[in-house]
Amino acid sequence: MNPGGLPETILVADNEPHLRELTRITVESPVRQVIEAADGDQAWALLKKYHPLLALLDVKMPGLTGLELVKAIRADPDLAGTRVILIAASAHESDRDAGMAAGADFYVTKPFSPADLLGSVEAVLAAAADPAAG
Amino acid sequence: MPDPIVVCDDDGRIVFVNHQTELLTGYQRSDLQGSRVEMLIGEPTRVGHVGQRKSFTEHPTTRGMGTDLNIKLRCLDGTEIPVDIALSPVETEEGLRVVAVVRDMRDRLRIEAKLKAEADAEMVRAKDELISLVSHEMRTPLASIVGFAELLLTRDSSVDQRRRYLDIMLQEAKRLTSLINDFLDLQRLEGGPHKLRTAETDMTQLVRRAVDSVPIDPKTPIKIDIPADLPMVVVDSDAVLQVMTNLLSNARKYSPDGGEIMVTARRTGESVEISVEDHGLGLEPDEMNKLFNKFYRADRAERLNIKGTGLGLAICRRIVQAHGGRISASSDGVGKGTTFMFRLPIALTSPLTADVMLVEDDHGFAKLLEAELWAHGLTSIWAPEAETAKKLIDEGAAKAVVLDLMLPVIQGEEFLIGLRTTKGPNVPVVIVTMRAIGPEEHLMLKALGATAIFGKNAASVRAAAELLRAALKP
Repeated sequence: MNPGGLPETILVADNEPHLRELTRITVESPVRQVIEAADGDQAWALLKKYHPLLALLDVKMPGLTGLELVKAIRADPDLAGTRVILIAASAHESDRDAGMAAGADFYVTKPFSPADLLGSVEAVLAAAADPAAG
Repeated sequence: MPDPIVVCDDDGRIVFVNHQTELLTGYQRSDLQGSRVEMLIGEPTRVGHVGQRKSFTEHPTTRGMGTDLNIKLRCLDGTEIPVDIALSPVETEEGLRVVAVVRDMRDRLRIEAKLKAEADAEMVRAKDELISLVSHEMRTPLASIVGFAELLLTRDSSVDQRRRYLDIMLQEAKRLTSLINDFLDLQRLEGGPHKLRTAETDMTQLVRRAVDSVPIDPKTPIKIDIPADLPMVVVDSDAVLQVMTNLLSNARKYSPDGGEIMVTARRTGESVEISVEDHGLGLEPDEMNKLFNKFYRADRAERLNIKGTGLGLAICRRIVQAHGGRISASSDGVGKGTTFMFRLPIALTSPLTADVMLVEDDHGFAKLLEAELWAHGLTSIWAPEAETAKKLIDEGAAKAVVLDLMLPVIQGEEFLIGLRTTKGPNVPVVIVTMRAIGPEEHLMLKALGATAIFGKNAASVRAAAELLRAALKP
């Protein structure tokens, strides 16, 4: 949950500013602070610095792609506590499979419903807080 | 391989066949000469052939290849070979002779079938890839529209927030519209041979129109440098205007810190080269080629959030290619600006005429002939295939011909027969061929009206030039 009393940090990485804004508005709350990255390299720097609880990553970004970032997160013991939701413009089954295989906790296809995205964020965070239930 | 040739009299009796006919049909010359030509014609058309032959001899006219593709040649062993036949009536002392040049179409049909299968497969693959790319590109603006619309409907928002959401939705809807428009433009351009409405056009005017159509921006002033004597170009002016405005608005977009944009045009050979130079972001060396691919967007542009559909340059390339030109980009590197260049064909003001027409599909060899003829005081024009040569000769473009036998589509022999039929014996035709010509074929070519026959080498090029000078400039 939030033992330190500090807000949960969520990283939103997308090179499209409007989609970053949409995602931030969707998930931000008094207990959830959102940090934003406009490309994959910036996202990695923020991941290493803030160890966010959750990263919402666009699959196709300049620099490191969302898929490359998931793999890097899963390979880094420092980031063992970071959950990942991939956001993709491809609805192909094979792309979804590749994302999940790389270690994503959930995969969302554009366009998405903000309410559904929020539901997925809650579910992923709940599962992380209580691994037995996940 | 030379084509089989069958010569008949006005009653359809075979009077001569060449060795190639013997090889293809399996018959000996003696089996064929004196027989009716129908013995060589396959089942589906044999019955009707007598009537067709009679009406042809009543109104003899030259008939090129490609008129009747269903005819079959019947061989000694009964096999029937799909062929194409060109017919030429020739008046001789013994009466009308009909010269039939027979082309074995088997290889061609096989290759065509194979190419078609390959092209079909490639088209399916390209289409799949395109659909996947397009749906990908469309989902991004759609995600903003759908997402903010849902926020408006389901959340309590302030007036300012609502205005902000609607503003984003409108921007993204416009983006989706340009994506669809660009995409349709490109589809139209790629849907088979593009119909250009070309006309002689003053490029200076066209550049001015393009400059006027992009909004004024003092940060990136556009300068024009075009010489007053720039020749007219033959282009579809709407399409070229689209290329110019695209390049100008790109130059602006990718110069976020401003800088002068320079448009220049100059003549280079038979074309006009137009260039648009900016002092913007520049390009990495590996970006030069990818730039013109559909949906390619430069990484740095993405990071700087410079908007674009990724289709503009693909459209430019298509349009320039449809004009037979090329478009390219160059840059001294990142931060050092970019120059786009493209070439368009210039208008030829005077009709083409010369002493000699070179009918030769090998451009290098045509150049060699041209130089040698020039050294002998003769001008020449070049036609890479017989169809163009025929048109130019009919327009009276040349007084003599240097003819290659192995040409694309229409072979040299057939061109020669056509020429002798329409122009009579007064146009000297010198054959220069790679093919080894045996004594019999030599005789046949002479009979068809060849003035001289040479191999392809330096000595024969000189000999051909000397012969033509003697004939044309005695």
